Amino acid sequence: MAHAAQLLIVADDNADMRWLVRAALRDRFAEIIEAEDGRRLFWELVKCTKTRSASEVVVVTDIRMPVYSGLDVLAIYDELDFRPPTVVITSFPSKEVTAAVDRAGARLLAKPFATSELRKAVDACRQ
Amino acid sequence: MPVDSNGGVQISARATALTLALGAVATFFVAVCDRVTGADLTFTLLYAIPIGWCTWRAGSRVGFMVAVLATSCSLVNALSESSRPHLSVALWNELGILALFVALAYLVDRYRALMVHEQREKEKIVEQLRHADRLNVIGTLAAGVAHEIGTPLNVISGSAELLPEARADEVPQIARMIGDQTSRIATIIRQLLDFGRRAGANVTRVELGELLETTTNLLLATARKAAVHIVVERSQDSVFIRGNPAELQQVLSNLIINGIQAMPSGGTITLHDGVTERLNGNGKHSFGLLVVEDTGVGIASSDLPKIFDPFFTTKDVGAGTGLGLSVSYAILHDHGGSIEVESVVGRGTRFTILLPLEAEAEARHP
Repeated sequence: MAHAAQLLIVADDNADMRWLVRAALRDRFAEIIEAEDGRRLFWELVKCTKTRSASEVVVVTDIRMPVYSGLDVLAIYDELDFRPPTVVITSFPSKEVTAAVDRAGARLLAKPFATSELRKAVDACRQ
Repeated sequence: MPVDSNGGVQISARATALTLALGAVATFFVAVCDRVTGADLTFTLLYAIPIGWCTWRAGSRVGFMVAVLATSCSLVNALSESSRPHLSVALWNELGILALFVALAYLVDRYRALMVHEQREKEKIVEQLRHADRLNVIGTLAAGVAHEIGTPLNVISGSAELLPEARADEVPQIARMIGDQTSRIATIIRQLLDFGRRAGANVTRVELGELLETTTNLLLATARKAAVHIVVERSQDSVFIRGNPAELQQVLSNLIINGIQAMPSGGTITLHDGVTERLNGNGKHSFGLLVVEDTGVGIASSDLPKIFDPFFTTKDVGAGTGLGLSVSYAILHDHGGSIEVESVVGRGTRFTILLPLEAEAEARHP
């Protein structure tokens, strides 16, 4: 598959959830990095700004995570001037969450989702 | 102003005494005036003018006109030289007095209706607030359940979808994931059931000092690891209550663990028991007392009202489900007891548990 994005960053505080996303998407990416909290996700993004263009990275992130939440990280895309295609996965898509995700131009996927939905969302945001 | 069950207004003893005292002073003053002027001014000053003023304030023009006429007649009557007024003046005067008392009755009735109406409005608002509060708790509960169960559920459903395409060496891993996440959901459900569970099982005689000792013994290792010093000050006289020791231990452990987590750089947790008196619905009662005090970061005053709400937590994601204190609250409530909290940010937090003493608990549940 000839996709521009080569790197997937999966951020979720649940290790099994990260494994699941990785397993579902491993055919689609050359490299997959896991982040167990928002801080790790933030630093991985900072590293990417130096080595890749935003279109070469896809982020799949949870919202409720230790240190920084997924929404905290979305809010600093502008500061970093680095806006990778992003899928936000959350168990509780409240109005505030939906609004914040829309503002950041990301996609929202409510847990529990089917693997096929995740694949569809990731493929859609890479185009 | 409180309204009794029949809708009548209850006037407090203090207001009644004050009215009587004012009335007595006014009567005395008017009597002196009567004596000095030699005319009968009592009726005019004590009834006609105040009622006229009240009808004016209440917006009743007819009532006001009647009051003015009655006042003038009464004054003419009182101040006229003749001790025997003309029949028409006397008649008009008596009619005026009658009308004045009708106006007074009207005023009192209007005032009462106003009070009852205000009281009903107040009750309605309180009921609305209660309802909003209930909805709020249900909303928080639903959001909490969704947050806690959403991810494990997703892992289980996702694992089922991935199984057919998984490599053989991944199957044991997927099986373990399904097991782990299922037991996580089971834990959440068990905690929720604890929250709403029924009381009464395994109730025995519990000595509060002993309860403190056994609970802290279980947590000494955890405390030492966090550089927290635990001090137990048992009261000299044993305090006995009736309750479920395992549940009470769960409450105390919760408070101690919260205390340890509130002191990231170490500190002291002081526990003591005793007896205290509190006022409740029907007079003073003695309660068994358990106090857990830490020297930790404290709780912001804006968070204090919420700490016993289910799923409210200030801990990091994953560190707490926000059910500990709400379950503790429910356990103590089942025991006929209560829990109070005082906290100063940066200084520490004190939880005070009140439990009915053995004798009183038996009187309530023989």
